Amino acid sequence: MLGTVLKRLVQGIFVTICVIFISFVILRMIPGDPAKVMAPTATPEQQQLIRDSMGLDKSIPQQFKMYMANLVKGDLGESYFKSDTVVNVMKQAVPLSLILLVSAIVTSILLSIVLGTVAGLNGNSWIDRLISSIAVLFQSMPNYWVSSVLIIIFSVNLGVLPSMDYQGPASCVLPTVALALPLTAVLTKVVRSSLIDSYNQEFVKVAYARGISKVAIYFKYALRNSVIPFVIALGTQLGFLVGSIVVVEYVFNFPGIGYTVLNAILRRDYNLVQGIIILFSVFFIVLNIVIDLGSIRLDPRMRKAQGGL
Amino acid sequence: MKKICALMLAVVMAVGMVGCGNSDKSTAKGTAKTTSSESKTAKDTLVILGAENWQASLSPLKHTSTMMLHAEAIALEHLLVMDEKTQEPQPNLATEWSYDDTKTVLTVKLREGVKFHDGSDFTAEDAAASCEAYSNADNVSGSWWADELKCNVIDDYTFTITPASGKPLGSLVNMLCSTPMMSADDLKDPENTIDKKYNGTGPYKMVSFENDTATYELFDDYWGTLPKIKTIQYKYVADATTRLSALQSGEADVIERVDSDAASVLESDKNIKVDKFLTTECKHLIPKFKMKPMNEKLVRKAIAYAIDYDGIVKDIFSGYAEKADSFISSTIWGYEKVDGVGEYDPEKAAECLKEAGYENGDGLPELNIYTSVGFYPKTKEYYEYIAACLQAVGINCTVVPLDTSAWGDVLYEETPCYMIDCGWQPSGIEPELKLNSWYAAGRISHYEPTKELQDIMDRFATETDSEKRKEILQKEYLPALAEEMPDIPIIKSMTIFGVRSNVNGLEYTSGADYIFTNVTKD
Amino acid sequence: MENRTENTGEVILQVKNLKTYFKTGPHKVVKAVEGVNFSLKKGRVLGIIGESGSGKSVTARSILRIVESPGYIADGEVIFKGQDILKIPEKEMRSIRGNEISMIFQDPTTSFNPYMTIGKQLAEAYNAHSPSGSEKAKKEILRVLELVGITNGEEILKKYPCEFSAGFRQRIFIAMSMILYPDLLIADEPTTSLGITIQAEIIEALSEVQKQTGISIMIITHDFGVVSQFSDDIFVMYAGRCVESAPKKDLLRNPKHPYTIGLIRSVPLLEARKTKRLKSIPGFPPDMSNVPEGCPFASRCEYAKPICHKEVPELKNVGEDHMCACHFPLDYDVSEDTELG
Repeated sequence: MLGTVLKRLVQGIFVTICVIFISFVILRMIPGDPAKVMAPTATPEQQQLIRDSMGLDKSIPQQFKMYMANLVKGDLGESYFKSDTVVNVMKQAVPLSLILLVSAIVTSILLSIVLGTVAGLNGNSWIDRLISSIAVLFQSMPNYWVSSVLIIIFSVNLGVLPSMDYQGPASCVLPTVALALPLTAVLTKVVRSSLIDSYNQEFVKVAYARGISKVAIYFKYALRNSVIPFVIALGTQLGFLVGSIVVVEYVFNFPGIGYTVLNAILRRDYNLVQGIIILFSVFFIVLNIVIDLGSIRLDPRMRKAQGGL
Repeated sequence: MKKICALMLAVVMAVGMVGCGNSDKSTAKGTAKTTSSESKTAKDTLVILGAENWQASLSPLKHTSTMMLHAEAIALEHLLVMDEKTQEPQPNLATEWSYDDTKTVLTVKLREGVKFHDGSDFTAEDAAASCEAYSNADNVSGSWWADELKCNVIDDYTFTITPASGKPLGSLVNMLCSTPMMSADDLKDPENTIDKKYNGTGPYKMVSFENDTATYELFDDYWGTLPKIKTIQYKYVADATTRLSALQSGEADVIERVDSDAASVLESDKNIKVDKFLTTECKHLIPKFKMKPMNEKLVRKAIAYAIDYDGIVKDIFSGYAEKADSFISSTIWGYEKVDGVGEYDPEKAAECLKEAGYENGDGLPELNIYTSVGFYPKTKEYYEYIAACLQAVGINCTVVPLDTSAWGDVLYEETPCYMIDCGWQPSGIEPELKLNSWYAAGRISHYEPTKELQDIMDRFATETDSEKRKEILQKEYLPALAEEMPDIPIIKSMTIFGVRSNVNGLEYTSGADYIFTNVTKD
Repeated sequence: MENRTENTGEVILQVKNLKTYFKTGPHKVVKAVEGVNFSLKKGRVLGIIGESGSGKSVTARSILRIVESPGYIADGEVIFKGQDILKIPEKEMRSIRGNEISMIFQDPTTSFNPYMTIGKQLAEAYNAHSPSGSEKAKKEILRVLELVGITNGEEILKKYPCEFSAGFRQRIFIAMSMILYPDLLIADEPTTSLGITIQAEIIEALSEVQKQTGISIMIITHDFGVVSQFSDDIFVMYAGRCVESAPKKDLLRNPKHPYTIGLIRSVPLLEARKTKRLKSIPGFPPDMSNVPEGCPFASRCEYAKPICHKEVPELKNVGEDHMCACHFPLDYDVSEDTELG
């Protein structure tokens, strides 16, 4: 097991370096640069002065070499627009996004278990079809639209929740809901189908024949056996969730990492964008490793196949 | 279990319907619709949401951004202010000013007893340093100026200004209406002072700047009339819809850059009023002279005649703009209408084309117009309209929309676009702020003026008498531009602010800076 | 059908006129079990034999009330220890399952929860009805494992079902069913999915269990060989009905129903008799959603008379403890069958 983990980590480092290089080059090749954003109506000569002060006058390979040299020391450079180091900017933004992410995940898990159970246990009845239709609906609604609708209902019309910024727990509610809805939809479907699956399994029927109580069957047999597909679905969706966070934070003007990276891209704040790309890249690699290894660990049949038992 | 779920679903649907529904509140005043909720900001605070990103540095020397200009103007003041009605500069931080006989030395006397926010006195040393720094060509702000300034301090409250080239600078006095006064000490050490925090003489002092929000509070030692609102919060919010929702939910008092669609929604809302007025900004279609046939006058004129300006104002902007009728906006000092600008005459367009040898557009290459999206409102829409108008007279043209940064990339280049869209919002009402960099220096179009026009430009640049300046501008300069048509003015921009109804007395300068003197909240 | 009590021992289970139907469509009803009657005496082994689709598994599941929708018990009584368990509330029924009546199933691979260790599942079986400390549970677990011939019980507790062979698993399952000292063990085709040598292993285990605990067993199979080895009484089912029932020796020596005779002749090895040539029963079992009039076996019976196609034969006494449902029960002595040699 340890050997696999190490192998995957080494692969991950290699992938990250590739990602850094590719993003570095692409950023500098797309039209526009920070100097033009800072002083759009200044003369080209003045813009060049600004560029020189950022080190952007050097060739791309040279810039990359300098960047990597700093990266190894843990220095991610300075943001051009926030007059602070990239590390500090990320340090401020990440916790706020984590609040949203964790809340969204916890909410989704709880809601999906409840809804999925109701749907799964009453398979093909009207309530199952209702819940499944709602799940499809939630999954198809684009998150910027959902966010806007939530703002209109709760901030503008009802006036009970703030529509923007981080202002304490109340301001986290709507963004969390916007993030949680598609995740809940997917997880509900997973719970529902794996419960239906489980209840169709022979050993569950046998357990019933052995006089095990329905409650015990639900928790120890049906639900527990849904853990693996649930965890895998959750892990996969986590990737989409992190992507959604960019849009949702933007609409809610919530100063997390998504909002920060979007503004950084629009302003061509190269160092900040680069730093956040590295962060996301590391996150995804670790996430994938955890999902793969986790699902092997959880299923004894796979563990046996891997030779872990 | 089933019953609980059914109940939950019913509750959710009920909330949804209540929330989405419009509430029609009939009051004694009438039955206006209200889609918004009550104001949530404190009575002594004004929350303003701006539409442009803050720059890395707050220094007025380092940017040309409109929002930064507004933010500065809350804390910093100028030597003179322009009276909107008479178009004459009035004393502000300066009390007297006069030229010598050579018209190259302007002596300025300052008001006494004015203090900076950090407690130090405002003296001639500060004024001199500010004028020199602001006009310095090494600073981004220098791009507003046709010439650099050299200043000499005579005594604590007197100093002189001389254009560095030695020639009279006609625009000087007007430019002093938009030159912010900063502390000389700060200018010596900008990184620790003006880059990070405003230190000015205005009624509000900046108390903090974090999370894209600048917070100002009343400055008790202000020399003039102190406004009533205690705190101003000026915040950047990226998304236009978010700004709109914040206004409607009562979390913001004022929002900037409302687009024309949203404006009509807000107009019908009882809790919100809409302030709209023409600004100093004009939108132009700028040809690139290095790309043939854009260097041919007749072609340019043909394009100008082919465009249905009224149609654009009515159909694209729903009336929230005015068609251009001169090379400067109506709020600019010395404005006058000129013939040939904003004239829609497809027959004349066809004639020009024929005369140029491109009857019905034959022989013309496929032209293109590069435009930015997301910065100026509706650019894609009205350029597609324009392309259709051009098509109607035989000129084939495609529209290339680009994001703001990519557009910025091409703006000053000689190639590859034939024409590019640009707007210009000068920081003040001095016409040279626009005319100089656009026509005299030809920065965007790479236009080279004819000898006659050059002569007019030179005389205008060095004429210091304001009456005579107006005459040159209105009788010679603008008509000559209309004859040459170095670019095609399309519309005069209207800026639209959304303001909560309980905010009274908010006024604006023609540059859309805020005047808070008489603001109160119910 | 009258009540039959044997003087050789009390009846532990009596099934009276059990009818279990399946509603497979708006107007389609499959009558899987159509009026079944039998009784099982304490300490004896009843073998129920029949082809696929004869309704034997459904009968067993009806007894435990675990018939799956769209099946439902339409009529009848199942008297277990003096109580009609078809009428008791579900909660009481649950306390009978796994506790007083246990069932073992055909496929030991799918019968176990693959995600739980053997030890945990055995403990769960023990605690399902009378939760108590793990020490006591462990003792009982080791006891039942020994009962089925697994002596290294301690070692295997931490392992997962996937780590053992099918035969081993089936033995553990048998052990698991025995853990609460049930009075009746129903074995639904316990050897059908296993190879022939493993079959012997399982039958051996079941015998051992029966000998040591004196438990009553109901074994369901389509394999005549299994039934002839292991059971005390045999009950033959065809098309959802009982066609013949008798103690084993009687049935094997003097079968009366043409179907039973056909079955015996189609078995390769039958006690000491060797057949020269297998004789199969021609035809197919009837479509259970559309059972023809009369005796369900009539279409395949070489002795059928007109009345057989019109009237359903009733189950009649044709000897001591020997019942047969035929209009013309045969007088057939296996030992005299020249074809059987």
